[in-house]
Amino acid sequence: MPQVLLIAAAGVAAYTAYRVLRREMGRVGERLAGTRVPVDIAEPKRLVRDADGVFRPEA
Amino acid sequence: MIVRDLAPIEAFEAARRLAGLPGLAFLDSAMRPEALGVHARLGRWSYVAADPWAMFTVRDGRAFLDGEARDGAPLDALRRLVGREARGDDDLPPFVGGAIGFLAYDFGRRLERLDEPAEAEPVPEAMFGLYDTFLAFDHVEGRVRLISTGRPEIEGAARRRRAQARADLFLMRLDRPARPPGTTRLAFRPTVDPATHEARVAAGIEHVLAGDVFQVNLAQRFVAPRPADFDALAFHGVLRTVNPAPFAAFLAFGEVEVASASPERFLEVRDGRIEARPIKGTARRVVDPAEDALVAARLALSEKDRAENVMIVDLMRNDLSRVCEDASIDVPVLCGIESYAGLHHLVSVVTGRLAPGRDAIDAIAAAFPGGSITGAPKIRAQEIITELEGHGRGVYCGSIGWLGHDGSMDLDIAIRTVVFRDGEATVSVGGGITALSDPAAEYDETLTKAARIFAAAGMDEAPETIASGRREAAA
Repeated sequence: MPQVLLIAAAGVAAYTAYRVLRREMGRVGERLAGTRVPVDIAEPKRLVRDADGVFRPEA
Repeated sequence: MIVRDLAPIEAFEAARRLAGLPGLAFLDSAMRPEALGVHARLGRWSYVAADPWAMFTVRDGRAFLDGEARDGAPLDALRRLVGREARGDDDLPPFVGGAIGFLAYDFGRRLERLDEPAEAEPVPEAMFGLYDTFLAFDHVEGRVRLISTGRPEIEGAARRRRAQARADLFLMRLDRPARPPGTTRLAFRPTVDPATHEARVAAGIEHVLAGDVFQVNLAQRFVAPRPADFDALAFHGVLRTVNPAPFAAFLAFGEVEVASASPERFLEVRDGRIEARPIKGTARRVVDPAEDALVAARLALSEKDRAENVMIVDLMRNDLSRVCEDASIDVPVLCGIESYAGLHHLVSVVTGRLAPGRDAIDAIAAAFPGGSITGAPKIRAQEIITELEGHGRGVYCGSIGWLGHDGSMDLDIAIRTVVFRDGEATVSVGGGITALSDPAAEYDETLTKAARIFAAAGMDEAPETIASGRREAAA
């Protein structure tokens, strides 16, 4: 009998851990799905040298 | 093998005179003589080679030699071609003949199972010329040597005859004046707007916060149309002047030309010893020496830059441990400062000793592409790069360098590199993204890294009539 209780307890613990992991995976997946990057199709601007020597898109 | 000391000639001038031969390869330690005190070991040697006896190419994971398919995995095919023979003479330069060329970043997909990018890169995954005759420039001793190995001949007399004939050809070419240079101007334009790059950086930060990676390297790309009279070698001549670098290179491999001003070594293998020099951490230099020293000191103490660097050092230690003797991995320099024409860099040095039975090709298989241009953990970082950048990287972030017949190797990380192909010039610049990254600052860092290349392209006075670069395909 103690063995059956032990196995049952282990099973409940494993199922609970599985549910928590599934929930966390879903949460992270949803969060990263929101990071898809739309490409701005505006015409890239000409690069102009700033005073510090770095070329930046013109204003 | 014929080894002959020549009258002093500047390495770039020698490259110009040999430019008429096919397959010009110029590994150009383009540091100025006064800089050699700082970079004496890294910038000691330059090599000019041309007219290879064969071209080794990798496309879609298959190896070809002069267009004919070779059996086996590409790296195994390359290993068989380079072979292994004793140096014979301690006085020879590190490179004693062998393969010079590049591994594209996308070759990494042949080493790990990774998704293909939405937009594939048309550049071959690897190109190496197999060179038997070349010039070696020792910038420390001021020596110029012509070396002709007689390869691919094996037998003694035939090999000697070929070595002599090839040496004579080089000497004849070196006596002729170089052709006049063409134009070197290019009008680069970004392929994405600042907001798009910053959104990608923000997405990279989200991946870090989600626990996918500790760091991911994201780049943006600039494209310029190549004018009809453009001279890529002459452009490299300007680039090496405005941005001298110890691992600069110029390759003219027919369908693709490459001009690089890389400051970073990927892997060196010499006498069984292996060294990597990952760069992570960059600061723009300023004119005032006192303020410049302060900028370097701030970089050396920067929590974000040190964290980035240490992550990559850990990755390189792990990669090298797969091919090195147990407990031989060492980090003799952690977050040291190296200063170049426009930038200070935070550089670490990771060393090890190759395990018995392992060679330079094994080291490539274990560590390519370099962790400093992927992020960590490497495979997940590569997946995120492919997803967010949406296209292959081609030569950029691959490696340029040589593999010698004696088992030695020296490869760089192909950053600060312009690739010419299909009437276009392309340059990409990126940076490591961590939890501490600021998208706007990361965007500006990419522009800072590209500044010298744009200056070399003469963009101050670039004609506006040249059409803008192509836009990137929607991801």
